[in-house]
This record gives sequence, C-alpha cells and structure tokens, in this order.
Amino acid sequence: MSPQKTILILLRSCPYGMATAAEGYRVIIGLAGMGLRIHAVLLEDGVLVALKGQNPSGLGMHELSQVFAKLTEFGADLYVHTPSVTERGLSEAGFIDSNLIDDEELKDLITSADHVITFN
Amino acid sequence: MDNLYLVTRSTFERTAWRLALRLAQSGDTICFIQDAVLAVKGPLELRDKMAELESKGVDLRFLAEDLNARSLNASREKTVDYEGLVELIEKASRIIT
Amino acid sequence: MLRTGPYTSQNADTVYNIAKRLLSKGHSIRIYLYEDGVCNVVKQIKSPQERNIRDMMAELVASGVEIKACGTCAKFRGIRKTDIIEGTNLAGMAVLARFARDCDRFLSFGF
Repeated sequence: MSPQKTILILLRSCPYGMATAAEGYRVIIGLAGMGLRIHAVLLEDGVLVALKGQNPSGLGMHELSQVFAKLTEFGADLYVHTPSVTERGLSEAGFIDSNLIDDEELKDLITSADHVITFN
Repeated sequence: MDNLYLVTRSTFERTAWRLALRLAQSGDTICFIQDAVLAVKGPLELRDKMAELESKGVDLRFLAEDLNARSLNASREKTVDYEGLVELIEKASRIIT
Repeated sequence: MLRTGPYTSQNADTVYNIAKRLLSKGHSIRIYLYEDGVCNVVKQIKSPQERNIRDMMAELVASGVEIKACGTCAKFRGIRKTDIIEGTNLAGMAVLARFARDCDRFLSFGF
C-alpha cells in the first residue's frame, strides 16, 4: 500500500448561500474516512463557517458550525485563516475550536500537502 | 516549479486572485484562465502587484485561447496556449484553483 | 474534480481541453463529477448547433478517461444511474479517495 497522502482542502465560501461549505464538508469527512490525511482550512468568506451562533432554521437548512466543530472526530484537522477573520471585522473569540493560522502557516500547509482541493 | 495557481474568475468581479497573490512565492506560477484573463486589464491594485510578484520570481501567464475568445492581449512571453498550460501542470508540485 | 454543470460556466470545456492535451502526452486521467458536475454526463443533453458537452465527455471516456459521478449529488438532482452515459458510473467518496491517492496532480474546478 502506498504511503498515506496529505490533502489540503481550502474552503473559501460563506455557508448557506452556496452549497460549497456543506459539499466541502462531505468531501472532508469522506476522504478522511478513507484514510487520507486531511487538513481543512477555512479562509476568505469560508471563515464564517466557524462562527458560533448560526441559526439557519429560517432557511430550512442544517447548522454548519457544529458539524465542522466535530471534524476532529473524523480524523481531519480544522484550521481558520486569521487574516481573513480580521479583514471581515470578525473575532476568533466567537469561533468554534480550531487551529488559527496566518499566511506563513498556510503556505507551510500548502507545501506539506500532496494535493490541494479548493471549494470556492 | 513549485505551485501552479489557476485563477478562473473575472478579476474585477471576484477576489479569488487575491489568494494567489497572497500565497505565491518565488518559483510559483499564477496562470489566469477563463474570465480571469481580464487580469491583463486590472483592476489597478492587481496590476501594481503583478510587477511586485514578478520581481519576487513569480511567473505570470495568461491562457491564449481565453484571451483570443475575449479579444484581449497579453505580451507574447506571458501567453501560454493549452499545450503550455499542460506543461505547467506537469511541472507543478501541486495545483491550486 | 469538476463541480459545475454544462452550459453555465466554462469549467467543463476547460477540463475537456486540458484532458485532451494530457491524453495526447500519454497521461492517464480520472474525472470525479461533483455537485452540478454530474449533469455533464446526462445522456439526454441535446445542444442544437452547439458543442455537445455529453459527447465531449463520451469522447474522453472512449479515449480511456475514467469518469465517475457522485451518487449522492445525482440523487439530489433527480439523476439515476440509467440517465448517465455508457462507460461512466455513479460512485461515492471511496472512489474520490482512490483518485486522490493514486494521482500525481489534482485539479479542482468550482465557482
């Protein structure tokens, strides 16, 4: 069997307006469940996925921050890109538990990945 | 070459190009395809940064077929056709869209 | 991985054009159709006086490209396994994982 590959998943879209965050989640847990090493990074508008207090009941959709909060249970690591948080006038204080990374740490994650899959 | 960034959406309408500019390092290539070939026209902020990136050793390329389709032009040395794009894909360690 | 459908964005055409050149250089190619991407292989696509994306995908299959479409995405769009072109199949994350594990380069096309 070939050595385990590392896949970096970049999630760049707001929850709810596009299916991107939800579909990205399915790929994250799907690939992690198949034994691939997954680093999932929320960046740009994707950082809103990590914001606590979401209530999409008025949209008839499932809440996403709580499912992303459980990614570690599937063996995937979750990262939030702090420059994207600051640019949007948000604060990490209101976010689910995750690893906070800056541009340099994101570059390192890219360099350490075999493949990068973007959900934009 | 290390990373190949492929930017697909209009550089005026969408900000996806900012990620490529933010992360690209010496040895990387940013290739503008589809509507992103509008990058030859700007916005101004992007055009300023392009010169900066090139001085850092980041290569910038524009896909000829997408330029031609939109009646846009880039300098010859910065233009690649699909054959050239495929060579960039072959050479890259990873591709980031 | 192709996440967008036919005739809405240029992505399917870009994938086709890249795949053709890669094939001519002897590379092997696998395409996973995700979200609206599954619509690119629907048999019933008709495109009078226009390029036919289904035929372009079928041409890739005939050239040895392995194309799989996400089964869950198909279900959510009312597409059954009998609705997609011959040589393609519905498949889940295990197949995407295999593609990611086996390939040298991974390209993703979305929005």
